[in-house]
Amino acid sequence: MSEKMSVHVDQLREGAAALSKNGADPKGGRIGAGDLGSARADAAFEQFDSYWSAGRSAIVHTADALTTALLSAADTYSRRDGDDAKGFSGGSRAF
Amino acid sequence: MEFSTDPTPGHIDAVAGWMKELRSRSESLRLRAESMDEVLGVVGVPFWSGLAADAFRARLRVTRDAATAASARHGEAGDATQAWAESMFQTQFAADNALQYAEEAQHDLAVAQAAVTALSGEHSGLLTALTALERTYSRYAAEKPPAGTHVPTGLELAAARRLAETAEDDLARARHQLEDAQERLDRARADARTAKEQYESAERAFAHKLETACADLVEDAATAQLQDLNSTLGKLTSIEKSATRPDAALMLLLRRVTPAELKEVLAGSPDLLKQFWEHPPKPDAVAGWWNGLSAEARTALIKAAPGIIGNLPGIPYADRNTANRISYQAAKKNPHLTPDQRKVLEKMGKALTAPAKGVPVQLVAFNLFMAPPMLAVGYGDLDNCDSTAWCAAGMGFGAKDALEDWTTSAKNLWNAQNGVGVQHPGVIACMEYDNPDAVGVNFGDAVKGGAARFAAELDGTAASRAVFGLHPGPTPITVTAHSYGTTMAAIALTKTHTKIDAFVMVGSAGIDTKLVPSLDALHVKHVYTTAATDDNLAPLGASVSGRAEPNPAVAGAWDPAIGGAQSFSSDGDGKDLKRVDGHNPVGEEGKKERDPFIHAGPSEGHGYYDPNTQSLRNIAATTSGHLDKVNGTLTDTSAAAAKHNSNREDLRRNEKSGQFN
Repeated sequence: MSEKMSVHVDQLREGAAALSKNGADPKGGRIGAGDLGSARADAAFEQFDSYWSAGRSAIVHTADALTTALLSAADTYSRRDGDDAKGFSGGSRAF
Repeated sequence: MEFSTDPTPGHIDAVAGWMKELRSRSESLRLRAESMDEVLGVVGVPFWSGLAADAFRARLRVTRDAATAASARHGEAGDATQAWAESMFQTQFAADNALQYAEEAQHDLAVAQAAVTALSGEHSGLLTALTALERTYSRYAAEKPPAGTHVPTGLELAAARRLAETAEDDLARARHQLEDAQERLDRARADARTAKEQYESAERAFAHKLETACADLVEDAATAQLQDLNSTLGKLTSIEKSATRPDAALMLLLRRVTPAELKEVLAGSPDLLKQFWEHPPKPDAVAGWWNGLSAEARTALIKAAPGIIGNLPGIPYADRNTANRISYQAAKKNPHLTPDQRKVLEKMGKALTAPAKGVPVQLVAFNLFMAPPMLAVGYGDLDNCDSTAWCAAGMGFGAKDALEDWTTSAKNLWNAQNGVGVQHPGVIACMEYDNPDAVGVNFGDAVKGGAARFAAELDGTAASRAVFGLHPGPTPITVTAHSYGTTMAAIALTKTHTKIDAFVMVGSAGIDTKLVPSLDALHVKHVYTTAATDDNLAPLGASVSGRAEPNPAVAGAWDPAIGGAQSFSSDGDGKDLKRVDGHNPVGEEGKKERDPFIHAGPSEGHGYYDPNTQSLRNIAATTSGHLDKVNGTLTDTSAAAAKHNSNREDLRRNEKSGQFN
């Protein structure tokens, strides 16, 4: 944790844009039974494919969630700045 | 052929297609990781800082690492698939050739076999005919054959022999062709077997490499908690929005996040432990918050963040102990400790032994990852004891150097308090600040950092006892400090919200009057002080630093004194209670003579906190409020300090006016 908090909202939005530019996980071709060799090769392919298709999905979903979180944080901070601005313009009593 | 199935199955095009797909995925993941790395810079400090920023970046780093690992594994799988494609091509080519050769050989074999069969019959017939001709020829060579009998001529016989020989040659040639075809068939079969073996070997390698590439899927990237990320960040940004002081922000953090979220935030910001340590939320707020939690919630928090809960003033000591024991056990398994951390762990076993049979030992604080490591060990049931005495260590008596000596001092005090009539004492050996060494003792940096923390601990005792004790309500809280610990504790005692019952200064290294202008500024009901006549180090420390000496009798003529404490003797009563002959709290075992000159190290049994010393007796009596047990007299130092300072002023005036020139 940092003791002092600072934020540049534009940077957050820029980060969100950069994070979302990679898009979805590209779709793969269809591999049929026996295409890659004997049953041994088929089994190894199945293992790899199921292991990493879940992993790739998690990475993509996390990136999406992080993008959303970044935009949401930027909105929250922007609202705060707006609230602060309203507070300052509310009257001289604030000073 | 002997292979009923294809010995080298698979489609090169499909393998090559998958290889391209793997390479493409590897590149896509690499680019994704690169983007995340770039974003870490875009939203890094100084563009975004704070709790939410730390939590976000921690998750992004984990995801970037997951993408990098996934890219590498897909690349490895792509390489393995390329190698497999090459092997498959070669072995399928070899197997196809072998098959073709075998088919040709089988055809030739059949032809040769037919030829041999046919020629064998022909040859056999010719031989039979030749035999008959030869027999007839021989029989009628000397006698006249019967009428009608044809006797072959020599020419006919020779012709028959030539025919038989020709047939034999043809048969031999056919047999040779048969053998040749068989050999070629065998060779083709062997080639097919070799191709199959090579194929299987390459396929095994391919499968093994794919299995090996099923690794490094970062769990965090796939957790179900992903959905909570927005919620956590929302809470954190909201906390940052409403809290301006670090301790208030940390209290809000505790109130608003779930144990799982706190664990996640802590994983992203290991520095959070340091923040909690240095800026602990107000202990009464902590005690109130903890009191409002269910037992399940408390347990979950202790497990999720033992480093925070264990070191949080205001939490009951039993719970702090549970949390700190978790941290302690984890530290023992940590292979990456520094020499200082290892030194502390080596001594922990002894520090955690009880002062007497059946007395609970509680790990009050455990922060191995501060520099230097800091901790506190308590003796007695601190949530329910009759009184609590905090012992603040001095110069060179931090956990890494003096865990054993200072905890021994605290245990000795526990027994001494018990001896003066406290049935259930509570004594805490506190090593929670950066105790200076002999060089740093004259400077105030360490003291400023430690005093706020120590003040929070004292308020924490009051808060947790008020809320969680068996008999809730105020119980005596006292402080005894040694050497530079008195400097630190005095500052802390100006910061407490709680009025402490007694402050006992032992071999003080002086009071910093810039921060503590008088002992009246201390939030303490009674202040005591002692300095052994033979302790030359304590007044020297006060003198060199310019701090005020609370024991006017040992103050140097040019050094300031500070009055207002009740002084007691540590020079022994000449009877049962021994004198102190050096500065350190306990004398080294087997040490016959104190250290020379400034007498830093006392002889065995002659330290301030050694059993059967006048010093320890009086510390026990004053920290427990049993003043009737004080050995000797209590003397108010106010008058002596005032006189000392007056004399000092005279000296200074005289010096200014040149009387000493």
